[in-house]
Amino acid sequence: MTNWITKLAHSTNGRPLSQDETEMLVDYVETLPDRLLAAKKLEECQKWLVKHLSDYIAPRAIEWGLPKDPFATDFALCLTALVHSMVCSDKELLIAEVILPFCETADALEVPRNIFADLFDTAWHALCKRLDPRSLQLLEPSFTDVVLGLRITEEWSKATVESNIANAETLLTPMEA
Amino acid sequence: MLTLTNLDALRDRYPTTAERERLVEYASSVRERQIAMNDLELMGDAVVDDCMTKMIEMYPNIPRYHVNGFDRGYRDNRLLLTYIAKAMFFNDMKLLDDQVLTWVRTLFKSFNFTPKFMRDNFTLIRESVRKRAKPRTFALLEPYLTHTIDYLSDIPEPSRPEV
Repeated sequence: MTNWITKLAHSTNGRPLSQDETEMLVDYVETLPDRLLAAKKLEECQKWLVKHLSDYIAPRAIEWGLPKDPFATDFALCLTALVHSMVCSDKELLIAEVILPFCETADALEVPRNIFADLFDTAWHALCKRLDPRSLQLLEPSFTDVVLGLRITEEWSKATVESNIANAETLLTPMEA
Repeated sequence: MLTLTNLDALRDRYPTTAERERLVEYASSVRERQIAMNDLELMGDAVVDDCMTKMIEMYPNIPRYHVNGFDRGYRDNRLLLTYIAKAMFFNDMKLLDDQVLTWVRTLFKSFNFTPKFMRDNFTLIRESVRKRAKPRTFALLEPYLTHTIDYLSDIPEPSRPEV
């Protein structure tokens, strides 16, 4: 899936960017240094996060039907997709590249999606102890949306997920500009 | 190279330090780029007028070879300026190549334009922008204007020039 900036850059077909488009881009670009810094901070504490999640998963792994290792590592690596959507400030990316794939993974593993929602929630609360306020402010909408997105979609099928997420659009926290 | 228009390269990895620094530097110039883009849009018609007035003097035979050649020159030069402004705004030379220069060069080659003709035209465009724009606006646009000259004049000498 292509992010909104790339789409906009390639969609004007020879016409100048409109004032609204330009302002939207400039407003976004001015937040980019903070977004990139938040990504760097998250990357820096990835190993710590893996350890934290491993400790959290270990006693619950059998009950949840999850592999103990390397699940925490895989999960932490998946956060790059969440960070990508935060860097691009693009909720569509978050749905397409994080929420839907996790729904599919939960289905494949025959694990309730609420467990993945709990893992994101746990990761978020762990990060709250490690990251600076501005990074947390930028990451919070993405974590909130993933947790809500995974919890909202109860009886999983691709159709119901897409329908529920589409309906949930207005319920979820809007991505910060 | 990571730019604003290909952030999807970060789908499964974090940005490197060099990429981050380059984007942060870009962010610090984006307001100036917005102003420069608007300036070029505002002066675009006058710039093309400057260029075409001289091209008509230098290449009076163009209408013999190309129906509505000068009208199309106005149109194409104006269109190119919009793409140049956009590429400068995004700080992305590849965007300029991909969106317009590559196919335009193929088209101009098929018209049997000479490398000198191309260089003259786009040098006149650059010099008009230099004359009309504020120094900072020109400084931001200059790499894109010069790249356009070099890229579009990089064509073989036609066996039967039509200029």
